[in-house]
Amino acid sequence: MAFFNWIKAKLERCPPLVDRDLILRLTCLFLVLHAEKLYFPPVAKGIFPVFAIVVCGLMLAFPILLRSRVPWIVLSLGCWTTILTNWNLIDNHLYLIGYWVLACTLSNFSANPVEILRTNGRFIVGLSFSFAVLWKFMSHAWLDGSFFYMISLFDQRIGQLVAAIVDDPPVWSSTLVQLKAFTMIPDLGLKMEIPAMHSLVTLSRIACYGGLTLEILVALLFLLGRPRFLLKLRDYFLVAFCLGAYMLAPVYGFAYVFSIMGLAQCGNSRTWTRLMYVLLFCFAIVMSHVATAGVGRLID
Amino acid sequence: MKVKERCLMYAVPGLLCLIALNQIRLSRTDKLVAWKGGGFGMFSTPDHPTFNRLLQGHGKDAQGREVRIMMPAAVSVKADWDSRWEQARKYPTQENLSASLQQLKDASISPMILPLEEDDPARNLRTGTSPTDVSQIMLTGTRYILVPMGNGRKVSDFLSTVGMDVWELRVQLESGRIKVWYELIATSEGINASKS
Repeated sequence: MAFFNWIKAKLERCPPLVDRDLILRLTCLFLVLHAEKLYFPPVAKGIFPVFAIVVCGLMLAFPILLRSRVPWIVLSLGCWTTILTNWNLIDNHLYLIGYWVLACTLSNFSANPVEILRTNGRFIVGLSFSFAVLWKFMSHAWLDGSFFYMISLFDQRIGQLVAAIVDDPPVWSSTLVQLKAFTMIPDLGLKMEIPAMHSLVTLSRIACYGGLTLEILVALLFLLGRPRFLLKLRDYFLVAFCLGAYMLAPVYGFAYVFSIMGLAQCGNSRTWTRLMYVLLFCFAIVMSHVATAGVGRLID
Repeated sequence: MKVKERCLMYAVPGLLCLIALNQIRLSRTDKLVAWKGGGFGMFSTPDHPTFNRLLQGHGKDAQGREVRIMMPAAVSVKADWDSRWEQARKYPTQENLSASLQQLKDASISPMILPLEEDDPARNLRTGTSPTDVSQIMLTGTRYILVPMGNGRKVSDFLSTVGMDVWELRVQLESGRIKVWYELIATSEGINASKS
């Protein structure tokens, strides 16, 4: 305990971690490190990463540019041109990146840039989780657990984890073969119906309802600040969601952006929480490189 | 707070809401896939645009028999084809279906699964690739042709009309059973496939 108190005292003596420059630097660092790994349609793939690395690299090399409006306007224009010209092909975390880069740009026009970043961080996290929750309620496959059941069969990475948990490997393998065959060479007039594995049904429902509960809590706490008694835990819920969800379906673009936005909306006095977001950012760096080396491009 | 500061503060959340609500609208009206379009619907439906949404061509040969053309999912083909087919799969409006249909009409195909009848002209298009297991397809009585590996002949060489369908995977977990099926969500009218 004394050790932790010592670290906390040291950290509190440091200049505030959440200052504007740190947020802007992390945003640039993220784009330098990750732009090349983002999924783009063929035309944008050759252009956007180079563009983002050059603009962000310049801002990192010459910090005076971080508070200058022009590079951020250029970066925003580049991001939104890419997003709007490929609006129905790109992944949702590219939209999040676009929103965040735009928020950084607008903060440079404000008399109170820190407040702009803080408010936008909170709202973007809250709204993106709200729409994710809304979609899950509208989905025919989420509330009965069938989404997770299917994804565990189709997605190799989730499947490997689930295969270790379910208690009947032969049934698992047989179901997997039948479903793969059905979807690879489908007979579009047929409805396939096979017995579900009890253990996987239970696991699927726990995963679906657990994930949904966590998303609802993050949405409510970030957007409305309700329920109040859980308000202090909102950052932990967000980090828990990122670690849980993106370990299963490693979409590290989300983890990166959420760690930066989480840090931006977090008050200066919350030393441990700030440290937690920085560690989440580091986790995303490490994991995205491990995943790229081992698995290749991941779903969505 | 000044109006300018207020605008700077809420412009981005406002834009996010507009785009997300529009995505929900398009997914309802034009079957835009939930995973794309900025509405944060990823991981909510099983119809992953690359793996579980099917684009399928259909056409008629010179004898008027129906031929189904299975499009490859996530296969690296020429960039412009890939992009158009991706567009049609993810956002199957009539405009996108028509554009991908034009591409299909001019595509080279390499049939991997032979038609059942001896006299079928498509049989002559065999390129040496054979399916690993045709029994399931044979049972359905439907003739499938895999497109486009780029070294075969033009679709228009042996089909008189071509059309395009988009199918969505549906899943239901009920009473200890999992039900899986495909539902037709968009279709285009067949067009004349002849070279003229």
